[in-house]
Amino acid sequence: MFKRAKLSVTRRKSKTVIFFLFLFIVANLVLSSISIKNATEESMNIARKSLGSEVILSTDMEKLREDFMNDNEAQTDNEELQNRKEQMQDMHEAMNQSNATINDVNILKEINYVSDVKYYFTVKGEEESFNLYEESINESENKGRMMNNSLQIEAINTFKLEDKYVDGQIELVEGEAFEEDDEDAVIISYELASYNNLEIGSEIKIKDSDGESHTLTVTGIYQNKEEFNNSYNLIYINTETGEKFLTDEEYNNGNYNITKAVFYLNDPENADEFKKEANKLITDLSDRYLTLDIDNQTYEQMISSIEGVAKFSRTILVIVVIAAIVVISLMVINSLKDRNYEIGVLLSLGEKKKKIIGQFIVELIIIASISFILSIGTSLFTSQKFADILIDNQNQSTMISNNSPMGGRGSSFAQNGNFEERKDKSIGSIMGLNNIDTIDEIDVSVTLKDVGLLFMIGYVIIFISMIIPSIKILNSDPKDILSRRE
Amino acid sequence: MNKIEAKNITHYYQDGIKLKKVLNNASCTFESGKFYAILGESGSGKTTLLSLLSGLDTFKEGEILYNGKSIKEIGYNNYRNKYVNIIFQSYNLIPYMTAIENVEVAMDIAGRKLNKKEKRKKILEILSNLGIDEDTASRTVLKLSGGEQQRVAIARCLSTDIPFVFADEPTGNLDEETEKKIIDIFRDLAKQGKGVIVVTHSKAVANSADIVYIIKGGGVTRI
Repeated sequence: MFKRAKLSVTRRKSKTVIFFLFLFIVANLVLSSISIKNATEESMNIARKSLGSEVILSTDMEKLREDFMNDNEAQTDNEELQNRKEQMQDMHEAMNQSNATINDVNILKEINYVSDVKYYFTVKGEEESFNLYEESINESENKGRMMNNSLQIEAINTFKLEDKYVDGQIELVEGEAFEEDDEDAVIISYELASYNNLEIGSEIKIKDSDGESHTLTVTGIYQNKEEFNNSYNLIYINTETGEKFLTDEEYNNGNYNITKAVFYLNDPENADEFKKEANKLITDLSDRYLTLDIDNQTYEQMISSIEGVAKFSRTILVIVVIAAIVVISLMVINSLKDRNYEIGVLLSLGEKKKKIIGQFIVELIIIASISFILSIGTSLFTSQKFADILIDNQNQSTMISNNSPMGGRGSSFAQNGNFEERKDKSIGSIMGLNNIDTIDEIDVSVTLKDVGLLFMIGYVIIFISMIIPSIKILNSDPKDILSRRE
Repeated sequence: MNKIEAKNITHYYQDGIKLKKVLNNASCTFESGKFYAILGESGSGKTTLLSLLSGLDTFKEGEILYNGKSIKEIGYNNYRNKYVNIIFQSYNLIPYMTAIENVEVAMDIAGRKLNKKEKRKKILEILSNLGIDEDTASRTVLKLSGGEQQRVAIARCLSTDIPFVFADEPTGNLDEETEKKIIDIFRDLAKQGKGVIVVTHSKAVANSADIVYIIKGGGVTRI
């Protein structure tokens, strides 16, 4: 069988060349699709791991509305009005009680997938040793804004993750960001510092709700970068310091409420797993009107371009495989006409039909193997070219989509300020589209695994292509074949 | 002793809208170690009988037994592979192979276990006995004359250890001298214990046969 196959391949040269050329094209397309798909997946992996994703623990407003605002059917106007008032009161009450607590944060941050956590709460306090910054009325009116004249204190576990700081709305112009264990540290605005002649190392006194005085040391001064931001009297302390400002009731034996917690995951793929685990660990999240929302937007926007390429390469792979099966089937059926006589001779000599089918398969495998090996060299070039064209087209369509009035995802997907630090250079160069990063280059290479997959897919194509010809061989009758010849 | 028995074979084929009966209740027996000739006029059913006896075609009625076992039970392919070898009138060689390779294919299918060197030596010996030298044997069969191709077909048949050889007009394209040589080979084969059944018009072949059957009116008669 093998010897006959070898002879057929070497002696029937024109047929061999035709099969070789077709299989060579198929191999190039398959290998290019596989390597592009793998390269895009690899880039997506890198992007995923470098960007991570966020899961936010906050009040479930939707559930609150559903539970408190839906029972008003078949009521008169007065009753409905009364009911609405009561419902609103109940909802507000439930909302006030629906805060996540520090215990929730401590439990959830221990879940494997969490790489970092941010949580904050606001505390009440009154300035004692300094004055609040007051903008002149003219100045305020000229800028078209209202001045906030009360002291706002936000306690956050680590300043580096503060939303405005991360988004670039505020910038540390002096000093440095505090960490969780920097006791009595405070970061104040540039305006407040200038107004009170405060500098790094200065001490300020603030009275809590119980009238107790706390001395804090200025460790950082920030400046607002946005013109309409007037929160000059907003100061930041860490959570450990913030606890000191809570009343006994608020402190609740150490399980105090927080406004919001954000869990940073090492891999967006784990977001659903994280949620599952979280709901296992804290079973009453939903009863307490709390929800965990996944925020993968930065990652999704970044990979949008190569995701399209990955999809396209998958589609090409499927089309090529189907087309190859059809074409090879037809080519083999056609060659069976030429080789019908040979089949008849072999059958008359007592050869088993399955061995004849085997011979045809071996012939295809010999030709395919050679074309697959040769395609490794050419596909290195073609797959990179192919990928460049695809990603270029994809980015152009993304740009058109983002620039169109209805397209894009809007500025809410603005670039994460930390991204420059987090991104991995191997992703390729990054270009901005409406302040959103996309991957505009992938490095396509053909790996041993890709080649293995090519051989596997190629051989599967051959075996499937041989189904119909095999049926024809199984139905062939040597007497009929040879008598036609006579 | 191996034996092929055809018992009350009736066979017909479709000729347009009519059924044409070729064999009618035909019976004959073939034993190994003997040289048989089957004679008959053109269209009398000689080739049909050979096709049925060699398991190339399936008969409509009756039965063919190999050592008492129906060839249907043995399986036609298995039967052809193990017990019978056929030499065709139109050579039936694989066109892209050389004479040596054609013979080798038959040896491989028949499962002759010889090493490469021995196999080649044996093939060349058989071909040489049939008047084909190594140079001619190394050419693809399409480059050989009709007579040479027929001799390769005979060589292919002789290369296996299969007990029965069926030949359909094997000497039809050969010159007198080669025909004589082939008849001698057939006689030798019969002496070696093979059953040789030849469908022929040749008087020389018929005269050399141990037993002669004649087909007439669909029946087979031993003369």
